[in-house]
Amino acid sequence: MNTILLNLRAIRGRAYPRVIGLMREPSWIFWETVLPVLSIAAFIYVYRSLNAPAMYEGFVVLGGVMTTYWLNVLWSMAAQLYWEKETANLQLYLAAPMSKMSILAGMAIGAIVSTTLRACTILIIGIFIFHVNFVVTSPLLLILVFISTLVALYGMGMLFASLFLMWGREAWYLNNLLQEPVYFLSGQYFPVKALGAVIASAASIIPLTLGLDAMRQILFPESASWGFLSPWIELLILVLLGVFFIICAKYALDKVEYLGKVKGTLTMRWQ
Amino acid sequence: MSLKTSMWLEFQIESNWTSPFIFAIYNIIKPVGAALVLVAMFYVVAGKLTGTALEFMYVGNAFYMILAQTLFSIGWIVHDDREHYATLRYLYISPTPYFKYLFGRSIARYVLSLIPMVVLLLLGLTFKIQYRINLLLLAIVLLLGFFFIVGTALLISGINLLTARHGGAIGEAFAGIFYLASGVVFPVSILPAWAQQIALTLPTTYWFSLIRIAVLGNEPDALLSVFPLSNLILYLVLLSIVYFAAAFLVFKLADGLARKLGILDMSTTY
Repeated sequence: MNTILLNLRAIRGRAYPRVIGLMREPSWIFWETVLPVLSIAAFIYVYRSLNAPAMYEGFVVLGGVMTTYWLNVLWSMAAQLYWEKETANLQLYLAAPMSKMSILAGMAIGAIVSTTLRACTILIIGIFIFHVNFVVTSPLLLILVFISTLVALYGMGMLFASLFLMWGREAWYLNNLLQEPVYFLSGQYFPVKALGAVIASAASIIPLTLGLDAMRQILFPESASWGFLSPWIELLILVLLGVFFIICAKYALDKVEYLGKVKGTLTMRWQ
Repeated sequence: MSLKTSMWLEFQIESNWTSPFIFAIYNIIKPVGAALVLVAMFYVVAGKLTGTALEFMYVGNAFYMILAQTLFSIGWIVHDDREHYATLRYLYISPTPYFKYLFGRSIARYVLSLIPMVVLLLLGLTFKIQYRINLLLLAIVLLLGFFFIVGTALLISGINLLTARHGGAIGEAFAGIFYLASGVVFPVSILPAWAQQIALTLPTTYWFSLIRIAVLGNEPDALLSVFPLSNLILYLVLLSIVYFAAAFLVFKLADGLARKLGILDMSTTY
């Protein structure tokens, strides 16, 4: 079979269960939309209790939307190969003839589709329940930034998937660790510029940081003074980050496969 | 004895994946991250790092970590025992009741969650938070909090006996409801009237109010500040008893139903 066709089929095959799973297990609608809304509502009320301008509530909704992608990257990308090992699927992936990158790409595409549905639900709730007003000043730039952010985020997820597989049980804890501290460093619910240039620059390695900052400036023009960098520069950095993470993911995956063969422990459970 | 063993097991599962030093860092960084998010939110609006509102949300959040970490962690126990470690069947046929085992693990988790809370309170000194700590009241409040938090954890475990997934999500859902409706990081009085009524039925609302009185020396929330201290304690005691009894009942019902349906040891590979 043609190699390209084989890999495209592998991508489709791995993405399929993630998309079709939405229909088979509709209980996600409750758990994965109500839950984020609880915390979003709490943070909106924090801003209301401080008599903050309305745009800050918009920051919370935007942050909430992007949080669904970040959590998805952590739990459905980064931890996925580890879980595939636990459920004995990993050895099937390794034995199959296609590139292992196709598996990761399929995981990412399926995850983006399913998470976008969740994110849209949160966005709709934010607009209709909390009356958040988004003003799209540049639709093209918004789309470019959004797509670049997702590519960089899921590229990072692909890299983490291999690394977490190497680290084993620690991965679970690392995933936990990459939540609240990342919410802080990436300015999930507030402009990252408030952290100062040094911290904001260091935090820019997390694609969420620049993606959120650019989207805040595009959707809330009155927050321009809180912008860390120009949205166009942030877009450029996001594109570079995406390429960087995907190349690193390829190297990490090859390394994992090599170590697995040498040590013979790659598919052993409870490691 | 079995209670002690369960506590030891919880500590081992939580900590033996790494060195004690890294475990201590891990146990602290997450709550500190959550606290700093709130501090930053306050800063971008107020333009300073001091104020009553900051004290309110900072202290509430520090103690919320006990509740959130306990519920989130306990939310996974049934799922882990049943499907990850596949030990649920052995635990059930052992002489120790599973309820007692869960209770022991909940105690250990609760105690472990006290450490980051203390660290957060110390970190609060950098934000010039004016602590006026009443140690006796704080000790009583933490003891009372233990019962309804562990009660809720057992309730979650009961639900998990009947469900294939959502282990962590159920724990997060309960913690999220408490976070939103109990005046953890903002006064209950700014919620809509219907939500305030719900808040007044939750033990957490009184718990966090008592926490603020015990740690800050006052209750800035207009709705709760009218309650005398004795009433706050009374409501917390009564609601904690109700919650614990309800949790025990739900756990027993779920346990019986899981046995009857033959799903106690199901494998969903999820």
